[in-house]
Amino acid sequence: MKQRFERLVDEHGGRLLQIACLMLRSRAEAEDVVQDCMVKLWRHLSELKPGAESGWLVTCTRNACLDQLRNRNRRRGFLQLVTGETDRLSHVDNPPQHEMETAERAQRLRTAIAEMPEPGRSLLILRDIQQIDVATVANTLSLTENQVKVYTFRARRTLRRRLEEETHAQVA
Amino acid sequence: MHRSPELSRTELDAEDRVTAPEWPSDDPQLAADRALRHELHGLDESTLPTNLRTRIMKAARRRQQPGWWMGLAAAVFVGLAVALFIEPLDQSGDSPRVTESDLQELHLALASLELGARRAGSATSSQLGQSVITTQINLQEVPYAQHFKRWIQPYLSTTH
Repeated sequence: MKQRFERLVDEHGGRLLQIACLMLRSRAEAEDVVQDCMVKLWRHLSELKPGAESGWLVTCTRNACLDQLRNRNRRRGFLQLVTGETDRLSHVDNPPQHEMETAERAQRLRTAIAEMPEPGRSLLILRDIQQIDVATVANTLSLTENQVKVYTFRARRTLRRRLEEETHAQVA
Repeated sequence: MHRSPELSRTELDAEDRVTAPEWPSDDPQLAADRALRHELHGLDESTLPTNLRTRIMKAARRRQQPGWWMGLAAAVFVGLAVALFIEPLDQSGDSPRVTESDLQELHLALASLELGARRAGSATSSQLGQSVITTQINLQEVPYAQHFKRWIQPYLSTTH
């Protein structure tokens, strides 16, 4: 069982970290989420059928990220209420802005994805960034395959529109 | 995402065209969608850092420990039970050892019993002999003494 666990950590760990980083925009929080999910996997490994681990891990990571975001919003609401402090938590642990254009573009993309509403954000991460097949994503997010396709299409269009608007605003 | 949640055939077909590489991208919207998808795919590396992997393995091992501790606790409990209850019982409960004097007392008791029985038998027979037709019964010596002697003999050899 230990070998199976190690193989799963090596196989899926990076992918899960990417999902968590894109959803949370905080490396430290993302690492904690991935660690928690892997420990949960270790506890439930004997109950999981071989082949079901990938979907289970993605679901676990996504749910943990959504919980974390809800907690963050609650904390932010509290801070705004008490001190009037705004929007500081959303940029915690952001890497420094690079001067290179590609890095700036990547940063804008990450920020825009993180600000997308669900399930669009998860769909863009799973379908476009990680290129997971439609059936697995549908199963993971409890959607039909057609819903996955259409919602992904809409999310991508929304993201495009936001990026274009941002670019126009910068030019103007 | 601001449109109706109902699925439209147009959007479904459009998504199929975006994700199917064999479809020609002469439509500028389709080309832009594909470019964004391509850009998103190359956005970040998906590798697990070594330090995080080490943390995960350590955390998983820590999760194993409760079972191990339970086993250890059970072993300690059993050890304590043996030390506190069974050994004192063994020490306090003297093992039965037969000494020479015990054996002599036993012989004396058996001889007294045998003599008492003979007296009772003769007294009874003399009392009943006048009114009861008696038959001659040749009673032999009661073999109690020999029986107990055989039983006691192994202890006797160990005590000497």
